Parts: sequence; C-alpha cells; structure tokens
Amino acid sequence: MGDGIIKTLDDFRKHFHLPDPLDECLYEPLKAFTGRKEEFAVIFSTRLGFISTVISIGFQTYLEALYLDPELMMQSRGPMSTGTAR
Amino acid sequence: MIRRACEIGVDAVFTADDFAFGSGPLMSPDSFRTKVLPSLKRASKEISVPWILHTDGNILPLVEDLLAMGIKGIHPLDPNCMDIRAFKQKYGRRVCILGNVNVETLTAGTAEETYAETRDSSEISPQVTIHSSSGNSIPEYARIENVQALVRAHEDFADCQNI
Repeated sequence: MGDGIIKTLDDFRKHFHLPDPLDECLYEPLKAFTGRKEEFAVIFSTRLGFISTVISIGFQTYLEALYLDPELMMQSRGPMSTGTAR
Repeated sequence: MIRRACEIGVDAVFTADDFAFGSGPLMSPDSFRTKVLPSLKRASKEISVPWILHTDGNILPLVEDLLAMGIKGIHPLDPNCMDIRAFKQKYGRRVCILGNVNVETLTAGTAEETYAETRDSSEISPQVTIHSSSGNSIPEYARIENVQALVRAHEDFADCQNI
C-alpha cells in the first residue's frame, strides 16, 4: 500500500471525485454483458469503500485517523462507500 | 453503482476490500466491528444478488462478522495463511468457498502441479460448495498454461451446482 495523497479534509475535498451513480451512461458497458446472460454469468466487481480509503489516505494515516482524526475517517470513507453502493 | 448494477441484472456482485495481512486482521476485531463494519453493512444493503467478498489475508477473527453481513461466497483463502480444510469444516455449509490455489504455483509451478493442486482443493464434502480459483488475484506474470490447467481441473472436479 502506498502513502496516499489524502491527509486532511482539505485534501479530501480537493481530490475526491466519483462519477454520478445515477448517470445511465456508466452502465452501458455492463448492459452489453447482461444482454448475453444465456452465454455466461455476469459478475459486477467493485469495492465497498474500505480499501479505497486505506489506499487514498495511506495505511499509517488510516490507522492513526481511526482514533485521532475520526472526522477525516468518516468524511472520506462514507462517500466512498455510499457512492459505490447507491 | 451496485444498486443499479443489480437492477440491470448482474448475476453476482464481487467486492474486493482487503481486511487482513497474512498474520491476521489489519486492526483488532473490536476496531473492525465498531469503525469499519457499520459502513460496510450500510453499503451492502444495496446488494440484491449473491455477494462474493474478496479479502486477502488471515481473516479467521473476522469471519463471523463477514458472514453475518450476508455474503454468499468468500475469496481467495490464500493457502499461505488459511487452512482450507479447517475452513471448509467450520464454515463450508454457510458460505461458498472460492480460491485457495497458490499464486506461487500459478506463477512458478508447472501446469501439472497446478492441475494437481486445483484437484486437491476441489475435493467436495457433502453440501459444501467450493470453486477452485486463484489464492489471490492472478498476476500478469502467471503462466497462461497454469491458469488453463486450473480451469481444466476445476471443470473436471468441482461441483458447480450449489452456488
């Protein structure tokens, strides 16, 4: 795991961008596969936010922030999880 | 994105979040439960198809928490830190097991060794489903003939009926 580039909430606001999960264009490549389900199983692979946060923040900063900077933790991991899920 | 992918009709969701080193979890189980698990649970509510969870490492201290979230499959049970026979015996009736073929075999072994290792890990106990797969993500330097041997052995020996 690398050191990550997000160390503060300002870093998070500057660097964090996810595509709009409601943008239907995101799913066009997926539909090419689900339209052929009689040929193969279709598995959607992603992350649920945990390791994305660890990689973005860096492992040491992540573990420290769990206890010393919970706001950075919640502000960063929350959007990563919910953005992936919804 | 998971919610919409399920609506569109994917057959399964595979999430990859590493929670452990080979020696054990990245943090104490208590910290995992209080500081990580709640957000995972909230996100997982959007998964409406079978859920396969990937996590590296020795996850034994976390298994019950992971199963309680409703996962249907667990991957990759790296043979360097997880005893698949013990895992099958304890959890094999509650979750589909995927993985356990050593990446070192896939990258540095022979096709015959890969076939044999896949065959051995495919041994089925009654009512236990195991899908032989790589014991971690297949690296780009894996030998293609070994990956083909894994697939061939899986097709020859694995029970694919009960996922």
